[in-house]
Amino acid sequence: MGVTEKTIKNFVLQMFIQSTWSEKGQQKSGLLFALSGLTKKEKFKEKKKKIEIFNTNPYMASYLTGTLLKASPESVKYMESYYAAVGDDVIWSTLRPALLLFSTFLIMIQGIMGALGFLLMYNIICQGIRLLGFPLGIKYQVNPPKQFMDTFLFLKFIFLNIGIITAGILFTSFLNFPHEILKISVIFVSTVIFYVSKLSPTTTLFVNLLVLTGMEVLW
Amino acid sequence: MNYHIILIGLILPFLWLDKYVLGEFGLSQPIVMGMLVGLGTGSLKESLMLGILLQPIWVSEFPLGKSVILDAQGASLAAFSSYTLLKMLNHNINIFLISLVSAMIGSVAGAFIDYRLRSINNYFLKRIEKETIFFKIALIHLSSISLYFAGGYLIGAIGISIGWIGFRFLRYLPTIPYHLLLLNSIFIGVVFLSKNFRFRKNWIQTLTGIFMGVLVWVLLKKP
Repeated sequence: MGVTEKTIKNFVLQMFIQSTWSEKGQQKSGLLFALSGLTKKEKFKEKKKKIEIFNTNPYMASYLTGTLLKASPESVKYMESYYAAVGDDVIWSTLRPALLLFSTFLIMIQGIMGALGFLLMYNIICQGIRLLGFPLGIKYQVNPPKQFMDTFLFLKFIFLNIGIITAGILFTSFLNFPHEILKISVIFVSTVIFYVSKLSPTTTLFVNLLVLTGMEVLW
Repeated sequence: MNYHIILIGLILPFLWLDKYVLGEFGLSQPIVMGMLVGLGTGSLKESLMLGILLQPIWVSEFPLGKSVILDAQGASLAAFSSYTLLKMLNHNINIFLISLVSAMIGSVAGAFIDYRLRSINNYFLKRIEKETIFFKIALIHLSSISLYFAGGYLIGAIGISIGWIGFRFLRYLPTIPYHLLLLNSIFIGVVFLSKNFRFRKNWIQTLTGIFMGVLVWVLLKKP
């Protein structure tokens, strides 16, 4: 199998990286599934024995799978946590919320284009990382070049700014309802109290809905 | 009516697989599910309105390491199941409030199902560890995926039950205006995002956003 063929096969196999996520091996079964499709039986047996547990960001797993084709599982161990941290910080914590918030704003002004825009942008970036990570993993092994980190830092910078500015714009939408400013203030204060108390958004929603219903009845 | 049944029975539980079992394309996010349900039910505007109502609430949540969180995917599956049922019954009173209640419970149910299935997957892991043939491993994966698919049905059933309860009883609750529900969602989203975006540290961008929001408001006020 050539690198291009392997890259496409890996891209399909990586779709299932988390499908058998377990408490004991975490993403191990997904990784074994990908490796079984990419390596020969004897090599797979050898690699399988050395992998105890595997967990990283699902889009970054592609790079590590490429690395694992040649490198030993022990040498990839530290990269696993490294890419998990980068993925959590850049993709889960910044890129996805920023894109979702921006798309929510776009839906408010443009309708369906906002949702389509999210699908397109999110998948170009995240599935792009998944697709291109594999050949880069084969090429650079356990020594990724500095440009890798710079690219992720750049992505974080761009989407952090988009996210914060969109959050500011959405926040000021309460200005459109000056006659209900008291009700709006009550919801806002309640939300801040729940955030400070470290409760979840679901709990906050539950209480805010009760408060809103109460206000509609009494106010 | 047939479209509604196909939506609830097949497409919505399948979209739940996108949460992390299959591909993670973002199809299970409320705004995307809203678009797809809207295209299916023929009420695109209303479905997108529900999508943007649900999206900001759980936008700040993400699975750190091996944590199980209450997130938007289970919420949107339950909410859109309720919504589709209510649309099928031609019921339009308190439709957003009922869907939000459904979303809340769906979010908790989604996390619970994730938690249980992760324990069951320990068994599948043992089976995979013994196998060396690709197709056999693929079959074991398929078994796990079908369990998740069944989990999607369970959340869908919860959504439908709450939709039916809403249809019978919650219609008597006072109607909360949509803009108040939306502001509630936006506030939850923005306030909880301060742990991701660190608004105090990035105060220049935060003030720019607020300034732009005020500017948009001033411009829209003028005829």
